[in-house]
Amino acid sequence: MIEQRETRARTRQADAQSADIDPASFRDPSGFVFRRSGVLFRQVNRSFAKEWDDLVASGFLTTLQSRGILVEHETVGAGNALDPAIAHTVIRPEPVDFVSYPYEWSFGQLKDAALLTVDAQIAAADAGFTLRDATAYNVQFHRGRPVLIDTLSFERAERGAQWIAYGQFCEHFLAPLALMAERDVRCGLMLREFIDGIPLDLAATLLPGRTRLNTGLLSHVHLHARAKRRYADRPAAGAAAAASRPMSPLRQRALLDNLRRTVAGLDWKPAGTEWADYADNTSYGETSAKRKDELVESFLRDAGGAVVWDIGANTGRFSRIAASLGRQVLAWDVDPAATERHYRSIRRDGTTSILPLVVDLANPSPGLGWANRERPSLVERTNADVVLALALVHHLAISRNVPLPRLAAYFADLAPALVVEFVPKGDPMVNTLLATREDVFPGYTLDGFRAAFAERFEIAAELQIEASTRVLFRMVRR
Amino acid sequence: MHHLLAYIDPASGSLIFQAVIATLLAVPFFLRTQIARVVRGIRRGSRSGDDSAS
Repeated sequence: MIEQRETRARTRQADAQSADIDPASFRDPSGFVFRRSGVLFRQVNRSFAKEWDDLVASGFLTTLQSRGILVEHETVGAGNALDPAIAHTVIRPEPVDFVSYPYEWSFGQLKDAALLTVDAQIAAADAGFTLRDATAYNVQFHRGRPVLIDTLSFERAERGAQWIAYGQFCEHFLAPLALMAERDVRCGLMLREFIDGIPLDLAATLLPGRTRLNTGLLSHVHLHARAKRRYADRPAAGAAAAASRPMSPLRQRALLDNLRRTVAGLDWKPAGTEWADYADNTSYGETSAKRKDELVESFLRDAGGAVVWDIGANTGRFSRIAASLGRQVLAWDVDPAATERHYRSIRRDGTTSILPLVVDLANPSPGLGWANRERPSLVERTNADVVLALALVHHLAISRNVPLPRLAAYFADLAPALVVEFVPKGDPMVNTLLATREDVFPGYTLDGFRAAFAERFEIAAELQIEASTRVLFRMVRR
Repeated sequence: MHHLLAYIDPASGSLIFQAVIATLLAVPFFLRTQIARVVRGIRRGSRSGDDSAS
């Protein structure tokens, strides 16, 4: 009998595990995220039942949702559980437009996500709760703004307890932001390696000495790193010492206020990178630029679909055209300054249908985390109906030596339709790329481009852009 | 300190450091909030004074 029960339990566990549990949802025993028939659910486990009921009864989650801090959800009940034996209830969260990761965010996006997280903890502390997980992966951009997606991250605060996620907040948000603002914005890419946040001792080593004059960075990064090192091999002594120093509400609020001020005080001016002023310096004259806008609009309209990936989006001139057609747009660019300018412009305008993100298409985000499945790669996350690749092919084919057939294959992996611009040799931009190097690209011709892409796509339309040598294509995947 | 539902390692160094630094930060925070309260009170007072004068 016991054996049968154990077998059933094992089978149930195996069934649950082989079902559509989100590969990133395994750390918190309070519940997990799963998909059924494409619909996103979050199971709340019995181990968290008391805390969940307390959270719901308090109205705190509703308060956070009304302030736009927490993603909305609907309670659908334990009848929808993936693993009923351990289920207390199930909620259906509002799905976000696209799951992006901190190493794909611009400086301003990471900063806004940090402010959202500390604001959530301030609100929680005021209501007698605490945010028990401050990972940057719990923030997603939805309708143009950051939002917390982990509804189970809150619990009733213990009287006098320190903020358990303080160290995590500093490693996921403050350390990378400080490095980006005070050392080099490219340090944001370190988050691709350190998926649990940038270790504070490393951040302290890399930050310029002058950051010790900033009270917030001196405290939360430099001295914090030293304290962590000091207690690293005697955690029990540290925990005992911490227990003997309870946090009054005033101290808690002072800490959070200082963290918030430190984050808010970090700034980075998006200038000085290769692409920062690129949009203002292209070789297009006014006539051909206007004609290109019209052609892109027409090709995008004909391509249809709901989601456009504008790859090589720069500051978003063509993303805005796609958005004006009612499309949801992911605007990818390699340059953190262009992406930052784009993000600031959509925040300023209140645009909700464009999400600018940073990616190097010659080295796109790989699968990361446990078994390389916790944070899926770029191509695994594609939801694109159309790829828009303008003034991009020459950069990948010539500057990065990617052969045209490989470009066509990757674009075909990303979306079933493509609007792409070919910039031939002789164009001032291509001449610039070839100015200091040998031309080892005999196949880089209009005919070579057509032949390479024809293997993956049917060419549905092809038009030369007026007053230029550039050609715009609309293609459909074979 | 007992966190029943903690599933991240808070790192004891972070906990003790946070307790120490929060104590130091509490003094300027308290002063700032008190000053802000007084300034708000004065502004409110002068505004209601203006209102009654008009």
